[in-house]
Amino acid sequence: MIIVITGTPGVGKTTVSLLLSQRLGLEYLHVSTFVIERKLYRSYDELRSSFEIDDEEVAKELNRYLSERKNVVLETVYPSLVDNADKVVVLRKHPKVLYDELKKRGWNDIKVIENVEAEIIGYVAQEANEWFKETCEIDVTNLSPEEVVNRILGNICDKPVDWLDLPDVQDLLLALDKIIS
Amino acid sequence: MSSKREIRWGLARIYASQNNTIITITDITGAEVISKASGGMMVKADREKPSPYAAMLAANKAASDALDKGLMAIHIKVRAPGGAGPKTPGPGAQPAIRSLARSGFIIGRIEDVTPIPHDTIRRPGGRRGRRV
Ligand SMILES: Nc1ncnc2c1ncn2[C@@H]1O[C@H](COP(=O)(O)OP(=O)(O)O)[C@@H](O)[C@H]1O
Ligand SMILES: [Mg+2]
Repeated sequence: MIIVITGTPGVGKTTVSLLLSQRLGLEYLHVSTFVIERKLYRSYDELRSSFEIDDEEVAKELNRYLSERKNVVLETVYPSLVDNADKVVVLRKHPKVLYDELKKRGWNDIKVIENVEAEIIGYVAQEANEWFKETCEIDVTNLSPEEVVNRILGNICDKPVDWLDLPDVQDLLLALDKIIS
Repeated sequence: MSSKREIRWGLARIYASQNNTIITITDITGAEVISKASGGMMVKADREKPSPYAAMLAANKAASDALDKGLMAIHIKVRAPGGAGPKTPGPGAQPAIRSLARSGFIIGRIEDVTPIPHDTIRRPGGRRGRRV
């Protein structure tokens, strides 16, 4: 069984994936760590403290690895790196709560804001929906990690969120743009 | 002497998700919001919010409000995730760009500035993942 836990950085992928993998006795795999350990990157982006990848190259290695393992809970920001999954869960978190979470990590403004804006416009959710036939979206904003795991196991999903429609999120978006432009 | 009239430039931002489209027009510094509209404001039914039609109406509204306030020219920045396929990019992005272009403004740069989420790894800009 291959379970993909995806979402914008800071939504809770690591927390939830580790819990879930323990609960089900499956291997836990962090795709970003997989990439860095195997040096599957092209260059380093200083400004964003991030290694630049080539999707095809990473996908080839990752899917070869997955075909040998078969029992994995994996977390990734880019769900289209994975070719086959039994379950795809997209975690969503209110952009203001996410902003505070990412600030706490000590990330610079560019890194925080690009990620929060990506959550607001639903970048990862959209990629997951385009790539996989079926996805389960969960708004974790008011849930504990245990509750999220229970929802995943019970297949209790939320209707896709629309942060862009919330007036306070629209204000946040303008404020964020002002900082990085 | 119209040739010497100073052109007032502004900045139009389009945000297109799968569910909605928002257009905000500000002064060139981004400090002052001149007009703002969303697909959600323009239609009643939830299912119509992401439609190209709602995005077009929203762009028309934001544009005419800004023209009324004396703005004459705009640069456009688009944030719209998605790759190939019928649903993408954010279904409102193209209609919103087209409406702004036809609204009577002088159009400057049109840039895709879709933010790419990233942790310790990042897909390069301009690339939208694997689209087979
Ligand atoms: N319901 C929840 N599910 C997952 N994480 C949560 C939840 N509520 C709060 N958190 C917190 O949010 C943060 C998310 O961090 P992390 O799991 O590292 O996210 P990611 O791997 O997506 O970057 C952690 O501090 C975690 O304790
Ligand atoms: Mg993580």
